Amino acid sequence: MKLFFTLCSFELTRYYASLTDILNSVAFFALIIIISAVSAGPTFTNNDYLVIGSIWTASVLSCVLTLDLIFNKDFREGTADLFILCSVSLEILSLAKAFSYWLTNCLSIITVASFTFLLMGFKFEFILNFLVCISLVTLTMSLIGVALSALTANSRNGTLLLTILVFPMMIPPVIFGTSSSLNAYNGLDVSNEVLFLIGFFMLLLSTLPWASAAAIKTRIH
Amino acid sequence: MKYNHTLEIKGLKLQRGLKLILSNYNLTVNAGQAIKVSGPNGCGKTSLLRTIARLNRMNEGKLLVTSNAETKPLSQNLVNFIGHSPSIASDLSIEQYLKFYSEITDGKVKYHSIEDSLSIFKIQTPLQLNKNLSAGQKQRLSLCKLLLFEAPIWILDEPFNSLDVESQKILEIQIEAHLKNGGIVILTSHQSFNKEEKFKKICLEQIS
Repeated sequence: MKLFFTLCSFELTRYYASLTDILNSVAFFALIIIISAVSAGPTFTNNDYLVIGSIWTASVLSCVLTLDLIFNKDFREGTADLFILCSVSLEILSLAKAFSYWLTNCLSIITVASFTFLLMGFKFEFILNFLVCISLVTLTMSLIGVALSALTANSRNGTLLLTILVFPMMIPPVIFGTSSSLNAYNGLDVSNEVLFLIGFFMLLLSTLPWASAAAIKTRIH
Repeated sequence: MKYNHTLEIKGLKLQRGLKLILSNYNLTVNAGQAIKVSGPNGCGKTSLLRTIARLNRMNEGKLLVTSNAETKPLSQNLVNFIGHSPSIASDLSIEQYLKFYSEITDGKVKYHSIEDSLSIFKIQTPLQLNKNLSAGQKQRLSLCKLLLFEAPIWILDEPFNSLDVESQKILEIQIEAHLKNGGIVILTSHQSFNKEEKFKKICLEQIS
């Protein structure tokens, strides 16, 4: 557990140093919302379905934008070698990287997205449901992102490859996440969708750290 | 002598892409022995050193260590490796980086404190960010890691690169002390250094 917190603290220090990348994601989120509002015209604020869809799209795309940051510096600066030389558990490293990425990049987007819903006059219960669903979706995405980023970081066309690989894996949680939000908006039961998201997250949590560790080893060797 | 380890490389085959670097290569390095791997650029010196440090996979062969009449496969905690590009996190300060390195290092015995290793290599600004360091300062910081933990086998890839004369002398003294303690040193260097004659020379081009 101590190693996990040491690695998290290392990652958070690094993210703090590249704060502009996180702000870049937030700016990207704002741009998508503004462009959606401008292109839909006055119907945007009157059509809650459009707002929900846009905010979900913007949140997921903004979180994907910085996935390549997860391992880029490690392979560029050689700290990936350091982890192997110090016999660091690569599974714990993957979990620490996923958690730190979520805590910095994803949480900032989630906060801004929730405020956007609040400004648009959505109910508190709806926003609470959105917070739970988007947190589960982005946590899942962070786990997937760590494995794929380890495979593609610092390679030619790595960012493009990462984006292409991450989207098919993200579609199921995004479908259930948006479906949960629409149900919550209409006052319907959301437990099935939330349970699916929790199940999907737990499944990946119990398998992907090992896949990520194998990916890191493959890249270094 | 502090260490009594013998390193054995048995039947090593090393290939990078289509290039065969070594085939069925055997080498025994005894306690207190130093090896200098030489050869032209691109002949595979770094690949060989990274393989001994267990960073690269070997195609065939075994890396064994014998200590107190017990032979075991070479493990990471017996090796201190310094690569030709310093593996330094640029967003951390010197002190933060060495503390992080100390905290994540598993299975090695502490040797010098961070303060002592910094003072040995004459680094006086522990709060300075790594990204603001010169190439020589980065190399000195990288070499500080050698002194933080005990390991009988030192693998140094171009350790004299970017070092000033004074730092080069400090490193030479540290290498000599390590050899006196029964340690093993395997290095590559295009530069000449003091007491080079004590190093057994291996030319990769001649072997392959």
